[in-house]
Amino acid sequence: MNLDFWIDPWRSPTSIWLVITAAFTAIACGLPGSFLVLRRMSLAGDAISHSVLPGIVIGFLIAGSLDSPWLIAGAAFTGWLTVMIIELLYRRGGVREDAATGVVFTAMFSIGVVLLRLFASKVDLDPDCVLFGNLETAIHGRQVAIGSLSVPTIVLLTGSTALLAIAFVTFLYHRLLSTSFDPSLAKLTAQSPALSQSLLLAITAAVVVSAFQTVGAVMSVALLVLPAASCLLVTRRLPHLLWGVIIHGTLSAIGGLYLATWFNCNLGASIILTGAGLFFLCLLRFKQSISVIKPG
Amino acid sequence: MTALHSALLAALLLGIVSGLLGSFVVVRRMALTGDMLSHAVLPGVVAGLAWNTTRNPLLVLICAVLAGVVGSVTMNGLLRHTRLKPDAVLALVLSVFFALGIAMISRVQPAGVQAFLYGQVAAIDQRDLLLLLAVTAITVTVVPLAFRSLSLVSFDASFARLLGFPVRFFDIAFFLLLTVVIVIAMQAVGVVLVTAMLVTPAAAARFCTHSLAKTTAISCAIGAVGGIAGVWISASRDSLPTGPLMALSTTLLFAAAALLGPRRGWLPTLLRRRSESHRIAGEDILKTLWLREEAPGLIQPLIFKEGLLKKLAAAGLVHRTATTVDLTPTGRDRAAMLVRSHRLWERYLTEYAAYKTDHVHDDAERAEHWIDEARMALLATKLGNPALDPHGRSIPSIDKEVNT
Repeated sequence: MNLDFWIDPWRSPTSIWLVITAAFTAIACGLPGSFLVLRRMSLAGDAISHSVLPGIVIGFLIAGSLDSPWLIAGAAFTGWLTVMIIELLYRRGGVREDAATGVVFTAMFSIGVVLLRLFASKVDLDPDCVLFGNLETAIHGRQVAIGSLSVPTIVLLTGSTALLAIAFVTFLYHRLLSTSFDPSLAKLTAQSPALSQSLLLAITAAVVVSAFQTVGAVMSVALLVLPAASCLLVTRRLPHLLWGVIIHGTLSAIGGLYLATWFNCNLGASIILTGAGLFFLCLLRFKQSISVIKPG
Repeated sequence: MTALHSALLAALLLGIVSGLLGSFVVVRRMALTGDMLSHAVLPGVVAGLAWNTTRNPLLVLICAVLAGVVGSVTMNGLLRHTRLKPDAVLALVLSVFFALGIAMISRVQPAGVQAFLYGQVAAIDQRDLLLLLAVTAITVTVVPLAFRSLSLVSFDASFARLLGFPVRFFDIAFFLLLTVVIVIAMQAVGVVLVTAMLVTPAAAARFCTHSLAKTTAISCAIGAVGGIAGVWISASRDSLPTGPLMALSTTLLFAAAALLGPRRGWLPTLLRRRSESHRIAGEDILKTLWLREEAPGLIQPLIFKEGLLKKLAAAGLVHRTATTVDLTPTGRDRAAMLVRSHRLWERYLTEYAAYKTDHVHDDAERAEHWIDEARMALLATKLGNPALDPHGRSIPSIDKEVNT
């Protein structure tokens, strides 16, 4: 085994930025994703990841660029709206939850695609991006000089969403903990489960937007669910789970770079497949009976 | 046959077949399993397209179905051997298989994969159409023939198993048919929107009717109309993609059903609730008037809603002057029936449900509006035609009212 084999992927000057961006994205998605998995709301994550598209297009029309807070605001709004419509259909309309999810997210996605095509001249958003993501091009986008270092804006964007996700989990740790595991107790101690849920959904929409350019809409579901699902196989404590998610995200990003270089394939898909490999390792190595994850 | 004609035909057939299967998908709560399948078949589709350069649809289909089988075997394995919840496993299999498909696409870049990703009704050629026609023909003949067994297996699998139905066989056959339809639908609307074709028409049909047979029929119709409308709109406006338009027009029909569907639609439910609450309020007025006649000494000011009184007067149940309201003979009979059911129910609760006599009134106050003639007769025989209620007041009998 020669060393070049391992060093080669790092030869390109952008490699390091690619890995950093991918790791930021994976961490940003993984942290709120863990709470989605714990609350059995993974499919709400699926729905949100598709329905942020109209929000992104509208945000783009307002702001005129891909890295603006309008995009996040628009996406957070449409993501939240989707879940609200699903709940409305489910609670008031008597439509079963899975059917309601299927109806609403496909409708939102269609609206997004139609808007994208209607304003194709004004919206400089690659339609491929919706399904694949396109990290390699995004990294060559606008650069910002920080000191003597020229940093691609996408790194800053994903970095700030990762920070946002970390801050969200750190500051709202106890609130999320109690509302996830014991909604009745949370209500008794004046921590509204509905509010926590809305916050969680909005954050999910925000991180999905940042994952949009990296891995695309569909594969961002994997970034939400895979890290938490892998860690749930090996740990029974919430703090361990959250640290595990960060490790899983970072390893996926690094492994993704290798996979993409060796097999010459899409980077986003490679990141997900590395994550799936890690999941498989967790499954093999640590297959043990885990009843319920314990808080604290 | 022009391109538009074949696109319209494809939309029609697709609408029918996905509407038909979709109603079973929705009833079996498999909506998101369908979503998972539509993503999980992608690696198979790519392999099939890369393998044969002539793009033989049958071969692509076989590879795709194999991938779908692997996907659902993975899902069932994870569900059985880990403690992960179904939602997480579904999302995980869906996205990882999709990622595998994308990785394969970016590596081999097979021709014709665009149609499967984004959907292109125009790309559906003669061979695809023949395949679609065959699948539709099979589905449309088999499903009505096996309808009773299929609905039994869908609604109550354990009961069907007890009866000796080959539930596993049905499940596998349904799964294979579903995968085939999903793969064909993918080419029309794209990987993401297959769910819309499967789930939306059926979910809309559930707003309209209780019966599964009618649900399947309505769902077929909605699927066909939505599909054709989508193709037609996109043909008249060049720049717009067909798949999303098909999904959106079906969603519009869904919204219409959610608002106006006779079974559970918003407006019919609202009207039904209003007429019920008016009936109950009117019956309460009749009963109050009757009770005033029963105990004339008890004079208290009675306040009724003007609109309700007008309705009762129009129905010939009360007689109004400027200052008084009285029951007409028909109104008196109706009121006596209400009081009878109220007091019989109180009696029943004390004798059979061990209620204390001071606890039965509130319950009877609600029940009196829902006990019909037949049930009243049943209560009376069961209680041995009692003359008094638990509070010692007489229970009006049917004959007495007729005599007076």
